[in-house]
Amino acid sequence: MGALDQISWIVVGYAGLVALLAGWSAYRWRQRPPWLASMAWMLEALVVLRAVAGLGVILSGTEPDQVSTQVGYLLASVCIMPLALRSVQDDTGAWSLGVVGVAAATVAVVSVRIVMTL
Amino acid sequence: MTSPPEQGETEPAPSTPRSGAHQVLLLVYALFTVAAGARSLVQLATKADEAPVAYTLSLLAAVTYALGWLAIRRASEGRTGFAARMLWVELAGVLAVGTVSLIEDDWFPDATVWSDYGIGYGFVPAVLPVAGLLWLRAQDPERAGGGAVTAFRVVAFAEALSWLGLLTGMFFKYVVDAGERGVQVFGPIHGTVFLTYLVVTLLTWRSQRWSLVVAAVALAASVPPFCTVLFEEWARRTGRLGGATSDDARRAPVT
Repeated sequence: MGALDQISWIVVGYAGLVALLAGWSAYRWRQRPPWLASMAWMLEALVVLRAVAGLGVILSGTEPDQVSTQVGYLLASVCIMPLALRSVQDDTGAWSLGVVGVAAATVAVVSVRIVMTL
Repeated sequence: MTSPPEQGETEPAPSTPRSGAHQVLLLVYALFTVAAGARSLVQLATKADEAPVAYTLSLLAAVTYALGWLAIRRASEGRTGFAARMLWVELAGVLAVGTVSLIEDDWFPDATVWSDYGIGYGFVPAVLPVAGLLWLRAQDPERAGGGAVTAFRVVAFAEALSWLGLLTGMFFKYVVDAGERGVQVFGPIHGTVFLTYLVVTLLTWRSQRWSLVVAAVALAASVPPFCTVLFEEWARRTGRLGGATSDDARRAPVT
């Protein structure tokens, strides 16, 4: 579980960074820069890696305290960012930054909960 | 065949969603629908007999969030009637369940989504309907601009008032040693009002076009006791809470 913890904390830090950059972009430019979506997809790649590793551990027989909760968190964390990006795909306005920021913050919170329910 | 608009609703706009704050609200409502729904369904399926009232209330909260999502979506298309009612229902639910959970904690062997005004979710459940109502108010061109200022004044005063309650509770807990009931009651209330103040301050920053320094001072005023009232008084005296912005003025009809 140690490696999973490490990936989860990296996700928390990176998601926090994406949320902060979304907030900064909203203040500085009031428009979504193209690189923010790239960063969000990088976050998604990390989350997918975390979910695959977590599900692999569960399938190999090492069960966390609350299996259903853990699986729910893993699946939810994978879905959040793509759905958020899709909802603002044709919109680069300031509020689309709010959507990306909230989604990144949610991924961070869910990742913390994943660590807590291991 | 389409049904006519409900009473009190404006004419429907084109169905293409506009860019705006509703996008963030829709995301948060969707997240809370899933979070509260999944939580309550798992609890009802695995341990319903432990706290049936609490788990059912959580399921009710999930349904409320789903309806709230629908209401915001309709309002973003110009049909505001359902949202105008639904958001008040949601706020009443959070306040009622939050207050009962503080006064009669024996009724809740396990927490609900709205226990202690949503303390388990960082008080977002209490802030969300307030943010929704402010957004809804901003959709009305005749009331836009002034809504954020009025909300800021009310919430700044409420924040100071909640500090008074919390400090009184701390006095009875630590000085008089008369129990911690006051802190248990006013702690969540202060937390809710504090977060509401932060959200309303951010909206007012945008509405009143404050500088970054003024906004930072406004946010920092929430930390020491009673400073939100001092900031509100200073902002009012220096014309930084002037109501409608230049954008609002441009939207107003020319007579």
